[in-house]
Amino acid sequence: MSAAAVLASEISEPLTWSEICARHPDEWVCLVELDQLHPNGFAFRTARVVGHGKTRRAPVDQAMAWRARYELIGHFYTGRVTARPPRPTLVLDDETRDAIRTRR
Amino acid sequence: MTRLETQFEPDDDIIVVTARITGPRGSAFARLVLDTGAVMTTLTPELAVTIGYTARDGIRRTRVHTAIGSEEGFLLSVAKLTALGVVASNVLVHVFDLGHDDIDGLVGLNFLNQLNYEIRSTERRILVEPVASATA
Repeated sequence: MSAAAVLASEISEPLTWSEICARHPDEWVCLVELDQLHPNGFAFRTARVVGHGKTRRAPVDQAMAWRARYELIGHFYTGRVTARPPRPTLVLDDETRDAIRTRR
Repeated sequence: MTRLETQFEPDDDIIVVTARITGPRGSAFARLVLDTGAVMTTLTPELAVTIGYTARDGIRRTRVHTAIGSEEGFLLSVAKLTALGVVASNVLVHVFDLGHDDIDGLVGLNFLNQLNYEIRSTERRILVEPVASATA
């Protein structure tokens, strides 16, 4: 199989979000060709899957092969978001505080 | 003043919004938790990689206290961040592994402070008036 054929086999046909969730349950996916319903929203008619996996990183690594062809890649979790708002405590030393303040 | 409307996903008691982040290798769509209690907008390292940034692009290394101890992150200036219908350029974000497997980051106050916004929770929508340097 040629390299082009291998690449071609790694992109799905256009799928709805429900179809993507059913095909890749509780996984991270990278999507291209998102046919968005609203410019500010998540909803889309169909998209193609160029990467998927159980970790956030796995689909990114697969999708990088498609980066030259697609300027926009979606990175989404197909499961239900259950995280509570995480509150990492950034240690604000003087230099970090200055870096943040100067950008406000 | 034009008010921009964004609908958010019904996902229990957190607000998840879609953001578009642009870096040197392109753009990425991701879903971020809107958190008015977070000082900094935060992205996971994986999302930063997707648009072409690594720790070497960071302008400062950071330390973060978490439940399991102290970890490292970095501050990064992303070329463009679009959320809630508002486009902001050269946005400072904190890149850090949040430790949650199902989210890609947070929209924090350093982005939200450029806006006047109204969260209408029962209607599942956010109304925004961009001010300062942010553009619609």
